[in-house]
Amino acid sequence: MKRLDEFLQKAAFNVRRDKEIDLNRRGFIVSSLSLMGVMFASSFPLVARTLHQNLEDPPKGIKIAGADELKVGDSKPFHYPDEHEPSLLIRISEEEYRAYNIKCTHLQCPVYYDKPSNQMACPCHNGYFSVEDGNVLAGPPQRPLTAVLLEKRNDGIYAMGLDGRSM
Amino acid sequence: MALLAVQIILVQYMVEVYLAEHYHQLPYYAGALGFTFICSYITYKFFQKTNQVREE
Repeated sequence: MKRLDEFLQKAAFNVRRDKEIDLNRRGFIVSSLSLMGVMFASSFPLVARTLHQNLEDPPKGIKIAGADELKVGDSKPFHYPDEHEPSLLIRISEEEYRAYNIKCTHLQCPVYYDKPSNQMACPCHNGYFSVEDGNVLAGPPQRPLTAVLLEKRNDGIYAMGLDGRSM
Repeated sequence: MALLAVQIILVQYMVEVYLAEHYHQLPYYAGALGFTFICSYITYKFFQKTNQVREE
């Protein structure tokens, strides 16, 4: 009977102090420090991605549109520097063109050119950008749109690279 | 703990910058994370030494 009692006591009070994880104040601080080390190490792949990106220069001299293909206020979608980067060419006056990468700098929604208000608009969260320079006019985006550098030649408009300020 | 909070905020910003494809800013965030980590390690070592001296 006594042995059964001992067995039941062991089964009921099965917490063994010597096996417990040592979570005192110092242990907690060491765990936090390790977590910080892990967070620092987890940033390495992102930096590696950046270095990889910098090695690839965008192609220059890609024809986007013909010389008089667009009327003033018209826009034409294209992809630059590769097929994963949608961009938009806009003719803002007789002589001036602008082109921007249309991934919204907030959460990557496609931005469109709103002709009546003469602004670039993001329909997802009502972000607005200036057509003149791509700067944010209103809404949640914090950074300007990436501009595509253009060159006007006799036979059309050519993409010559990306404005490095926001890529 | 304050430094841990700073690091969590930095990681959050870094992910946001990555998703927005502003890759040129990422090394600065990595540098800031490393700096915070080193500061935390120095602080930890300092208090460890302080404890040792107190126990002697």
